[in-house]
Amino acid sequence: MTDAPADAVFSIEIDAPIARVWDAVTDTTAVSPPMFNCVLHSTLEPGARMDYTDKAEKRCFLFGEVIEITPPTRFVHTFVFGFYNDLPTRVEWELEELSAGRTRVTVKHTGLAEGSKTNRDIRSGWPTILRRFKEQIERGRLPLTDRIKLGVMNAMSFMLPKRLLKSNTDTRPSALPTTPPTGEHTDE
Amino acid sequence: MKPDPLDPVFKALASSVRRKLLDLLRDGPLTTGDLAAAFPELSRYAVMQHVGVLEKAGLVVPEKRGRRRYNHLNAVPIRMIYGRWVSQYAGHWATALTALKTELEHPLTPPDERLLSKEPAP
Repeated sequence: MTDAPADAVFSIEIDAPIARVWDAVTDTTAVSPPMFNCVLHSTLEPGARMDYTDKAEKRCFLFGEVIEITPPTRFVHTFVFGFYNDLPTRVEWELEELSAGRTRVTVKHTGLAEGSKTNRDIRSGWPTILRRFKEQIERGRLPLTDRIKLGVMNAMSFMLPKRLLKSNTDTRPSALPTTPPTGEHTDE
Repeated sequence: MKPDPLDPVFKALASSVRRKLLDLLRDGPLTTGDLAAAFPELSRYAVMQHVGVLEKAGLVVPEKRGRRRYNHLNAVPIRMIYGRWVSQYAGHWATALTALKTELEHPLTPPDERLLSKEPAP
């Protein structure tokens, strides 16, 4: 069962030391332009809740809980889009220093239900996020087109559904679904 | 001239075998054995060589699970090509601006006609 591969894998190489990339991915002190200008709220301890909210902490776009955190190489957490009703999925961040000043970031996503909206959205979401982390870390800011898109999204935020209000997402479960016992027993 | 970080991507894509390998991985990860089986005309070693070129270019990411090695398609480099060339000219912004231009220049176009010229929703 642990021999099953991840449902989707995304990888990028960033010209920066591993510590800088780790700090960018796990920053809880400021808005993260690569993460759609969200702020990550969490104590980042195993079991702790994680919420990616807007700056005002009014809406929560993405939440989950920390499963494992080993600086500066491994960060595992559950992942739920505030927009959708899909069950929590699992994300593994792996950072690897290829040489001094060059780091490979790999994101492995599992638990994606076939045909779910989460499954659909992460296919284009992770490449965008990883590219933006690369641009943000290497150049200090996102390219103009990305900044315009984020600006427009921010201006349109009044149109977002109520289900994204943090008061609503706070009560939604973030733990991985326990796999229901199937008919197939492999041992005994 | 500085080497372009996308050079290995284009070199990797300049082979019909490697493009077919990527096509096979589009629906999900496969082991190297699965991939080799799809090319009966090639030796397993030749297929592994091609997978190695794709891996070096970042288009394929290996994942070890137990004794198996799964190959995943990594969409990130392809997205970066798209971001660098395609989206600048044909992305949402160009579409939005064209729509705005049509709207401003022909504000009296009957709604039916506008619907006809509109792209179908994804």
